[in-house]
Amino acid sequence: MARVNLSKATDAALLRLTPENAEAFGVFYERFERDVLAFFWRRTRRADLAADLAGEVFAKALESAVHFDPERGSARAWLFGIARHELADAWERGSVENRARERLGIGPLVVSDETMERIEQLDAANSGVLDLLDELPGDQRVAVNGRVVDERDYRELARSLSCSQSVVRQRVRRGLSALRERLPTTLYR
Amino acid sequence: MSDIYPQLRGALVEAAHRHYQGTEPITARARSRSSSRPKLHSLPPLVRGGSAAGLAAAVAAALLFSAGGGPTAAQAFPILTSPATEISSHPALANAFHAASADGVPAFQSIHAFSTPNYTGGVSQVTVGGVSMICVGFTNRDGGSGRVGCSTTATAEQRGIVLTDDGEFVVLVPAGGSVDLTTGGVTTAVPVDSDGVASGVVDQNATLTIHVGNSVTTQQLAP
Repeated sequence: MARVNLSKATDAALLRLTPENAEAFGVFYERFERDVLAFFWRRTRRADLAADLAGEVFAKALESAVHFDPERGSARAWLFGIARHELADAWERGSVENRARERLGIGPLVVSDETMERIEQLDAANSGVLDLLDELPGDQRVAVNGRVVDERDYRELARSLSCSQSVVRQRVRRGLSALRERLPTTLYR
Repeated sequence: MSDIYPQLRGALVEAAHRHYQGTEPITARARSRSSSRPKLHSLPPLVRGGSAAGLAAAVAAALLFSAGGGPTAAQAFPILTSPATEISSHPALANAFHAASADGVPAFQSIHAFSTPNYTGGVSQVTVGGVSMICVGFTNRDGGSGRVGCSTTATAEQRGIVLTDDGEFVVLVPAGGSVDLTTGGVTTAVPVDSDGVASGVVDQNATLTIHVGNSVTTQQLAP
């Protein structure tokens, strides 16, 4: 079996390699661990919930890794699509689903205090930025929120906003530029 | 490396092994009450606890995935050619092996003992339902806890058997196999002794990689 340098493989390649090399999914997890946990932390403000949700999302991603189709979008967009669905389902049910982890034989994982602290610190530096989002014009706020906060890709945003990808990119760029101008200088240190 | 929630990473990689390749080393743990070592935060189901039922379930799973053992185990694992001794002559190991015994798993009578700079351990062969299995055990440095892992002989010959206990590890390496340890982006070869055993301790997150022929198995270690 040829050895593959997983650290240099694309996200899509890591998913494709997962069935024959489990470590590929470990590398995939590392690439998105921080962003997925931050995504859930920002929405729940509970580190244990964020960890629980992330566990189910990555389990679902692992189960369906072989079905990922790069023609339909990036692996990142695919993963955060799962994350958004998981979050919506959790809100609706009032609990975090565990079925994918059960199917995979992943038992309950106790979240250590250290992990909780690391999750809680994930977006501390960004909290001031997010507070300023409400001050942006509506189209820019929606674009920045969708792209930066919700981690949605441009193709998906363009479809949901009924405009071209270039328009969405422009709104995000302008929105972020406006945010930078309004940020207190201390955040740049 | 995963720097926020490494337990999840480890559980996912192990699950990927199970889900797509249908094999894994199966392990059970015996830990004395006097052990002062910290409790593991996260363990996949077949690794958690040292209960008899746990190992029985693991053995059942292994049988489902197994093609059966062959008569070449001694060739694959040189330690099996060493004299076997009564397990009772190794009290700490006996405690660990006995805790791992369960319905469907014969009591361990004798072991092929080995010692490393850090551990005392032993290897034992048993037959479960007509399938040959190899079990490896070791007691860690404080002697307060032991760890036993079993695998079908056929699987062990292809992948070896890896036992980890927090940052400590023992690998039963098939003949011709090798072990690498990657820490902080640096990979070093772990010496394999004449018994086919590699062992060590890490003080930071690391990845253990076992090469046997075309098979590559990885295991995450967290101190």
